[in-house]
This record gives sequence, structure tokens and C-alpha cells, in this order.
Amino acid sequence: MRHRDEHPIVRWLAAEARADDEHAERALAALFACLPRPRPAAAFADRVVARWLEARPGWLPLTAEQRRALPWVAATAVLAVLAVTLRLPALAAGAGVLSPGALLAALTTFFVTIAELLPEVALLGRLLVELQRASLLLIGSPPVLLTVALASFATACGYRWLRHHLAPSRTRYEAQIS
Amino acid sequence: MATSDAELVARALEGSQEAYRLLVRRFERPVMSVVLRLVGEPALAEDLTQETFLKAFRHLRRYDPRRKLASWLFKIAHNTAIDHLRRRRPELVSLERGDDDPPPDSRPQLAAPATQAPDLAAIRGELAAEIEASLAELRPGYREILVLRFQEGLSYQEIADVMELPMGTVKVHLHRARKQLAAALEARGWALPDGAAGSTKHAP
Repeated sequence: MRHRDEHPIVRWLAAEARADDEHAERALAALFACLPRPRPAAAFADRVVARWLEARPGWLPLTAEQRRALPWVAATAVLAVLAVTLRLPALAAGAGVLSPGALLAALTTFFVTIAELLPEVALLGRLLVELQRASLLLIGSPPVLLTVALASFATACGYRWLRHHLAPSRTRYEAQIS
Repeated sequence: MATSDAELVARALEGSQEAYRLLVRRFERPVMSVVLRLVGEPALAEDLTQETFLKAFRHLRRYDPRRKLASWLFKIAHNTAIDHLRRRRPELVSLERGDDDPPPDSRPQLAAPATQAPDLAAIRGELAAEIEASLAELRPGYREILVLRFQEGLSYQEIADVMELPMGTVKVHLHRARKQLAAALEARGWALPDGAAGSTKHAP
């Protein structure tokens, strides 16, 4: 039977037996100080950070390669829109090609004609025709198209951001650590 | 001068990869220690430790700098390990179950066999082996609470936050864990000498 008086384990057991909490806690802390803390494998921190960089959710759920390409795609898209809105109609008209504006005007005329061929309608019918014409002309203009496209894009991104940050946590540990 | 935990967290939130790396290096061993006491397998403990850090990074914006970062990480580690144990074997988790025998595969595998050399390193090695072997007899929850209190130095309130228990329950569990550890050491042959003050024990 091992019972060396000055052995740290015996000192602790003695304090416990005496119900001497203060000495018992100190003695037990000294015993635990001898326990080696486990060490993860080499480069553990690097692996964790690498996994984190791959997995972390951004405001857009893209891979790392897609995130790197995003500025270039955005710049290309902006340039394309600018080219379309500023230069293409003039070039198309100069080359004799039917411009988007002309196509839109033809469509509008078509719908107006159809509306006028309808059996006699009340004032509502006329108002609808006028509204249709104004809407097509307005929507067909490049600045409005650009604005609608940008607004849609911003809305989609905003929705995803809100959904990610405001959605209620479902798992037990997420609710508990917040 | 060492960077404080709050500063590291702030730098990490700004996107500094080095700050993330430093956070992991600073807390990998304490976190793994707590997880290992719960799950008992070093390889699994390392996986769960990695998962703990990833969860912590995901929710780093919710960290309150008024709290100790270590306590916050221990809480995530505790929940991660408990979730894993519940998925694997539900009956391991409860501290109140009647069966006192822990499952065989829940014992940690750290301690080397004790030596009898008189130098300090050997004494520490012997102590560690004896404590490890006795800790292995305890339930995972009792092992964890002893490590949080006596190895990581958490207060009763901090332990209550980590384990989501009332402070009174923490004190009761800590008391029982100490008694069980003492009983396990006595079963391994450690006993008070005859005539020890206040002792009712005697060598056979």
C-alpha cells in the first residue's frame, strides 16, 4: 500500500479526508499541473485556417476561385453595359441595322394597332393602351434597363445577406453559444 | 508584448489570417484537453477541436470581449463534443445515470507507464500516470469538470456557463468528481498513512 506522507497524492487525499477544501483544491490543482496537455499534430493551426478560408461564407456563396474572378467579371459587365448603352445604337443605326429603339417602336405600334382594332371599349381601354405605350418606351430605354438590372442584382444580394445574418439558428449549440 | 485575446479577435474579424492562426495556436492545447476528457480518443479529439475552432470563427462576431475567450471556446468545445457523443452513443452523456462504469472506449490514452526513478521528471511522470489512470475511471462529464476547474483554472461561474448548469449543480458535481477520483486513487493502492489527522482510512 502506497502512503508516502509527502507524496502529492497523499497530501491531497489527506486534505480531502479532513474536508479541508482550501488545501484540497490547491493540492489537486498541483496534481493536475503535472498532467501533460495533449498536443495536436504538426501544422494543426495551418490546417484549421486553410479549412476556414475555404469554408467561410461570404455575402456571396462563391468558391475562392470565383471570388478572385469576381472583380474581373464585374468590370467586364460594366464595360459591356456602357458599350451597349453609349455606342452600339449609334453604330447599329450607322450600319443600317435596325436599332433596338426602332424594334421597340415597331412592337409598340403593333400593340397599339391591336388595341385599336379591339371592339369598342370604354375609357379604361384607352387608358390601358396609353399606359402600355408609355411603359414600353420607358422600359426600353438603356438607362432604365441598366437601373432595373442593377436594382435586381442589389436586391438579390441584399436578400442573401439578410437571409444569412438574420435567419434563426436551428442547431442547439448555435443557440447556446450566442 | 503579447497581443491580448480581444485584439486578436478584432484583427481576425478584419480578415487577418495571421490572427486566426495565432488564435488557434494559443488555445489548441487547452481546447483539445477539454475535448479529450470528454471523448477519450486523441484522433477524434483533434477532429472535434478543429471543428470547434471553425465554429468559433463562424460566430466570432458574437463573441463578447467582456468574457474570457478561453471560456467561450470551452463552451463551444463542450457542445461540439457532447453533440458528437450524443450522435454516437446517447447513454454516455448523462451525469446522473446509475451505472458507474464508464464504457471502455471512453478512457483517454495519454498516460505512459509510471517509472520509479527518483528524479523530478519521473515523479511527475508517475503522478501523471496515476492521475490519468484514475481519471479514466470517471464519467466523461466529471473528467471534464475536473479539468476545467483544476487544469484550466475556471471559476465556478465560468464552468456553469461552459456546461450550462446552475452554479449549485457545478459545485455538487465537482464535489462528487473529487470523491470519485479519490476513491479511484485509493483503489489503485494510494491511501493515507495510519494516524493521519482526521483520516478514517487505514492500510490493510
